[in-house]
Amino acid sequence: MDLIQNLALGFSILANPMVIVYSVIGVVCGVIIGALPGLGPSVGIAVLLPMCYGLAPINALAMLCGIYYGAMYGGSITAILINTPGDSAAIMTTLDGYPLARKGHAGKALGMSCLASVIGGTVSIVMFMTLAPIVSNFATKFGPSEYFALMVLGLTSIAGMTGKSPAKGFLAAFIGLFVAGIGIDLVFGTPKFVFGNVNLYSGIDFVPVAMGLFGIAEICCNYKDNNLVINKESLKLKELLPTKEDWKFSLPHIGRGTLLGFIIGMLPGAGATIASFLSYDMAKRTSKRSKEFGTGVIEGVAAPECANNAASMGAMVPMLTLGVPGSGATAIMMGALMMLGITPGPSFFTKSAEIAWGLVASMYLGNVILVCIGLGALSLFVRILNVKTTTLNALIFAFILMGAYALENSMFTVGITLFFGVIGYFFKKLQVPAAPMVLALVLGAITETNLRQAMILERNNFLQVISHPISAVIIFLAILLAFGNPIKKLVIKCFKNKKNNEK
Amino acid sequence: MKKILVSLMIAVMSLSIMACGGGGKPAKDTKGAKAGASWTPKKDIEFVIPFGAGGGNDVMVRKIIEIIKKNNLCPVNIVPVNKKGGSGVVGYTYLKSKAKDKDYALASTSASFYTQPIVGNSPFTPTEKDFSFVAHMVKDPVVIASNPARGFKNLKDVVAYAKKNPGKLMWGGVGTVSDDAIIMYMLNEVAGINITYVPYDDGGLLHAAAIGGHVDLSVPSLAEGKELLESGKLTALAACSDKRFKDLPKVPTTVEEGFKINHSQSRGIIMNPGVKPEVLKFYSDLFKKVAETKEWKEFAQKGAMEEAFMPYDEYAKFAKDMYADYEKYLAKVPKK
Repeated sequence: MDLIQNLALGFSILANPMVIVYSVIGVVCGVIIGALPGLGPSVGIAVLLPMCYGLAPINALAMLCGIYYGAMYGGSITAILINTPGDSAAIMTTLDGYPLARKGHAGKALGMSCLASVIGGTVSIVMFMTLAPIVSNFATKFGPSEYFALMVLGLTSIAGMTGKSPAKGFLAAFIGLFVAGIGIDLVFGTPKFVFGNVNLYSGIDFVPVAMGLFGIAEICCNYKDNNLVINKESLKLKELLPTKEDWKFSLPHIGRGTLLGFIIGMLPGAGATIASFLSYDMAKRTSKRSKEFGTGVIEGVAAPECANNAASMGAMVPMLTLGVPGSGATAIMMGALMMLGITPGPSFFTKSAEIAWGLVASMYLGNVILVCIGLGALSLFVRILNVKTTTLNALIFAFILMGAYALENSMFTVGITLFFGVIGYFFKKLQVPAAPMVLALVLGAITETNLRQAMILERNNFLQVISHPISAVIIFLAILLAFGNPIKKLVIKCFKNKKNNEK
Repeated sequence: MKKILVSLMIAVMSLSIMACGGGGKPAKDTKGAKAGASWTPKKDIEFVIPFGAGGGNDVMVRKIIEIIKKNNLCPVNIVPVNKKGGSGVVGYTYLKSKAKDKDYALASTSASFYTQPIVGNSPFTPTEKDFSFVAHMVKDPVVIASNPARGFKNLKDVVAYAKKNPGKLMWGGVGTVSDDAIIMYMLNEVAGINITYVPYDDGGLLHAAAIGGHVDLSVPSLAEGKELLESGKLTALAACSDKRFKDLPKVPTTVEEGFKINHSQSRGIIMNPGVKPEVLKFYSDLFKKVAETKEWKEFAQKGAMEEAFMPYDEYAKFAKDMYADYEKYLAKVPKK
């Protein structure tokens, strides 16, 4: 088969042992950078790019792929252990990962996160290989109307994160939507809530907000010593891995999450973050343990993790087939590829077949090495919890502030992180969930932009906007998901009444 | 156990501090540096990039610095600093904060340098009152392209369609006050038509929309659009530049088609106002040497940028004309 031949070609290029070395370096660096708050795959690739300058293309590629996957996993380490997501795609992992860690199952959560990530990554590479030429056009079918519909669908998943009090969840979400609106208007250039401050012109990025809301708030509230005693027995690898029962619960979600993640990742406007939100929501709706989500169920970790890795792969589809980057990290990766003399685009797989398949093969390699390192270092990660809380908090605080500054080389970002840290503290005390706020912030900006663009394209005719075929289907789905339950109950009630009347 | 953890933490922290880059180093004598200019820098120079890492401006500045280092053109280090935000205003504000050290602070410019002040988002103007002009490096010309499904073969087809259907054609571009928009306004004026502008804030999304037919027209730069144009996913209508692109020899220029619009984004280098001529000449000559190297020419060719080096006096005049142009066309942007 052509495919197997091409894959063999790719792997033959990897035969050089140096490639494996570079891949390992990439994965390790990626995991560390991903774990540092605020720094995600895009920063990781940008920072380690200079190291690739003098390398042969295939070594550089192996390292870049390693960084990419390592960083996606790294973000979930701190998310699970200290409730501070290392990057936005790991926010959903905190919802169930952290409670699991508090219950003493940190190893299981980390292990499932690693394995789910790798399964998601590997399966999506297979999907990429087999489907890429067919679905390369998929990304182009999505215009502003379709993105708007998708964002509306995404916003409905907020309902799944509200925990005990929906009202408080929606409060957080609306605050998030408000913050999303700050900045200079795209269409008319009018400043909104900028207060004349140049730094607010481009709006407030959700990364410093997430770091403040989750990270700093957590430190402020958690200054007492943990009562978790981790004895040596529980650090054996066997104890740390997920059990058969866990797998039974998680596998179907991993399957669905991977598919969903890959599809969403293919859309240039949406990325790993949105994929992880939607996957978590889908898992919550379809799981038998739906009510327990948020208290530490293993599929709540598996679903978003496999989705965000699948989305990273999905983002490569438009990048490699059309030359259109699917996300921030792929944009930088595309720059890196161009620097190596490789121009991604429609003729990528035909013109530079060797490099193209070498790239695919190095992605497999990256995933394999991630499993080895991720699981091997599990016991090491879990022992982080042993560190005295005060020391740990001081370190985290330092890293958060460093990460905030590194984002834009500006103290203003640090200020934003601290500001939202204070807000996060109040949220915690008032038991207002923070995840809906960040979700609304991420999705709100994209929703507004796409709605405005769609309105321009449809000459201010909103009905036209939602009657595009794809948009209509997605909005219908959103309405179904949002109002499904009440409608179902109403219909059942009607039938019952009818039956009673007939008796 | 604690020891291992502590040493791990120390290793990570020292790595991150190292990665933050070294500070200034004292000037060292280099063999290749010409002693021609009557002013030479005595300490490290800061080069402000008012945009994010990885963008066009960032890549250009870092290439310049790389070429200078490789060829030993400057006796001191030049340190790049990214200060993005407010479409460049944050970076220029930072540059102005270095006014006391004005001989050692540079910044790079692009379209937003001219556009932001016009829309009132910048406290300074792109004139000699607020800045000194050092050198103009390259122009970033674009291709006017359309979705093949539309059936347009050249600009004349577009104009004919637009005349019959005012306001119906959709032109997608990045930002509301960018070159993408200005070229459209220029075309509207010169051809007497009305095309509607759809702003995007993400170049990648814009290209996907252009390919998918959600917008009818767009203006990718050659670097961005080469693959798409060659593979036929987009049809090239005209090149908005002085000469035809080497990579697209069959595509006529806008002027050849009869439309006198020739506007491209220009990238140059500026400093604080009031810099003495000897200092300006030093930098101007330095960048001239960069522009003459083989690596720079390769870089410009790869990125499909038009080499257009101008020394400081020429650049100042060019900037004045640019500003007037931008002012004229941005007056047409609808404001609420």
